[in-house]
Amino acid sequence: MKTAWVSGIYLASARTPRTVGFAFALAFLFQLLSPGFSMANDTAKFSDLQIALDDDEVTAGRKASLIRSLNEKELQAFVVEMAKVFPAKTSFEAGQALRTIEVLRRHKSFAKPDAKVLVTSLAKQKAETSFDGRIRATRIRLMAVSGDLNKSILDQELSFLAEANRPSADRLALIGALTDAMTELGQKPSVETLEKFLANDVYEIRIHAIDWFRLSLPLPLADRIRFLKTAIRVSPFQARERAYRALLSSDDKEFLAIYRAVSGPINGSEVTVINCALDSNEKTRKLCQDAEAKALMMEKGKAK
Amino acid sequence: MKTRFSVFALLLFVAVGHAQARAVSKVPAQGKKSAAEIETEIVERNLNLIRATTDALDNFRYEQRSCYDCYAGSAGGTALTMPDATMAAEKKRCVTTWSDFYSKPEIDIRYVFGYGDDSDDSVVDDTLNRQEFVDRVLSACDSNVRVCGFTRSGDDADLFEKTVVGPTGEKHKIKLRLTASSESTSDIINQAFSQEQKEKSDNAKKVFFSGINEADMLMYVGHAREGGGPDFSPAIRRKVDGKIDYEHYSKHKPGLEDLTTAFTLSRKTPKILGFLACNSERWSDRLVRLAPKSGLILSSTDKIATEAALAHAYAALDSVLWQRCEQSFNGSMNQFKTYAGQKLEPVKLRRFFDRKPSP
Repeated sequence: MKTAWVSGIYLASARTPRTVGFAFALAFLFQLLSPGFSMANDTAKFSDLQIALDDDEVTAGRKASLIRSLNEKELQAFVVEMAKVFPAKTSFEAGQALRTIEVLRRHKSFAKPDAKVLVTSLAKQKAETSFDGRIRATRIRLMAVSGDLNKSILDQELSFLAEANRPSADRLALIGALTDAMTELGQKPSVETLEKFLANDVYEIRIHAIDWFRLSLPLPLADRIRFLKTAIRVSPFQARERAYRALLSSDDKEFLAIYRAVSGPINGSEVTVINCALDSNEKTRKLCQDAEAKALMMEKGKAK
Repeated sequence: MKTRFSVFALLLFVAVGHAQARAVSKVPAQGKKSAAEIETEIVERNLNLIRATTDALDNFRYEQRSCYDCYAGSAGGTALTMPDATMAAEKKRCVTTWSDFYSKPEIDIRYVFGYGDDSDDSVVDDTLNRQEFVDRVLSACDSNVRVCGFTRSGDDADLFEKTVVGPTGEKHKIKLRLTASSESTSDIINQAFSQEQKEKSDNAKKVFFSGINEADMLMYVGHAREGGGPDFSPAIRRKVDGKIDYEHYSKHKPGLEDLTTAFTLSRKTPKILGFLACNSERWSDRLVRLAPKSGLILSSTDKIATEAALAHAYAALDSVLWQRCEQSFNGSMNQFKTYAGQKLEPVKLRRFFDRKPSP
């Protein structure tokens, strides 16, 4: 772009008005064709601001600052250029773009129409890249802004989490994005959905489900009991650990009711009373005993 | 005027030529490819380098299938029947080293992922990096890569087990622990549960520091914090702009000081100790002093991409499972010379093959 203006100015130094007009018309044409946008103090090309995967922290930080300093109009132009990256031919290009989108997403002027442009663009990316999970995750985070995160999309993404043939890393990236997107929209997953996650083949998704449950509180008492009944018995111990913490952080008024419902038999025929001594992990055994002691103490207090 | 027009035409020519060159560069190359071109293609077509490394390691082992001195456990020959005396000596050294490494029925290997935050991005990535490893170790063994076929513990999300045959023909249970430092892949959860995050960081730190005494192989994959790492907790940030306070890290070196204390108090050190972080080579002198009996894997790339550090860590594990001899071990870790346009300095396992066997 600078080349265009330089040649325009150079030709403008000619004396005939026709040449001057011709020169600036050409320069204007170049300006239109170049993917650049003027910024407060300088001019920059799209590629100058796009954060590269190998950019070190200083370079990435400088580019991020420049992106943050774009005004509303410049941001819109940048988003339009960004959208042209997709479908990216390689996952390398796609990943590079994701890094920049992360910064764009946090721009104070980043609004619904910008998010819509990027959501549409990301949808063009075929799922064959090795970075599918992170692309899906970014799309979900953008959909929270664009207003496209409807029930059908959510159902589709939630079912992706249950697909055992998908890399667990992709699924974990997605559940993090879903948590953030839904929380930003003030939405909560249903207790049935969270319960399904507790049975997921990926341990980390089970663990995440309990964090998401805690993030979704307050929930109706019946839902809390229902979820914790399963969560407190689930493996690995890192999931149970979180479940006990969720239980122990219950309001004092409700703790006893939840504890009794959760630790006692689930149904008449099957005795499923929690016996802390049988917990194979030292950490969860201790938490279980803490909950038991708290319940006993509260019962004693009531009896008095 | 003529001169002026020529200058303009030249500028126009350069501009159009540049645009065409950009378009041409997007057309994939046709025909036969050299080894270097294959490497470039793997790197450029797979952002996820750890998945690309699986292909590279598969090919690496295949190409060395008849290499007698590449593997302590290979059935291709014994030190006595080697065609060359130097090769026989090398093989003997390799077998002795790995016999010492695999001297116990259970081998304790730990990979701890440091807290993966960034100044300009709230997404923390160590949990996802660890998960890439989880996918690899749980994958079916259908290639020449031995990072596969692990069984996950029924009740511990971080523990994976696999039985391997050591250089003496005995079976050993590998107990691999993969521990992340961050609580979640959700930004909101990471910010909302600070107590849980603290406990998660404490746990990662404990797994790493207790590993100094207990592990046979101990690896850190994460930030160097300008020499002040390793770090398992969210970064200390500057109040003025919220950016990571590198001045604090380079001045006080909190992680390195903790490390020094832990090594000073430990009775023994891991047989293999690795720090895959930006220029961890800067810790070399100190680590040699603190852990003179440990083999060291350090990175000398200044700003190493996380994916590249993961690829090195992955190849190192594959080599331990294969019991690769020195040259082959180092070759496996350096499958890629560049990544995303960045030169990757070679990573080596140093001092390991010169160790004196444990008493």
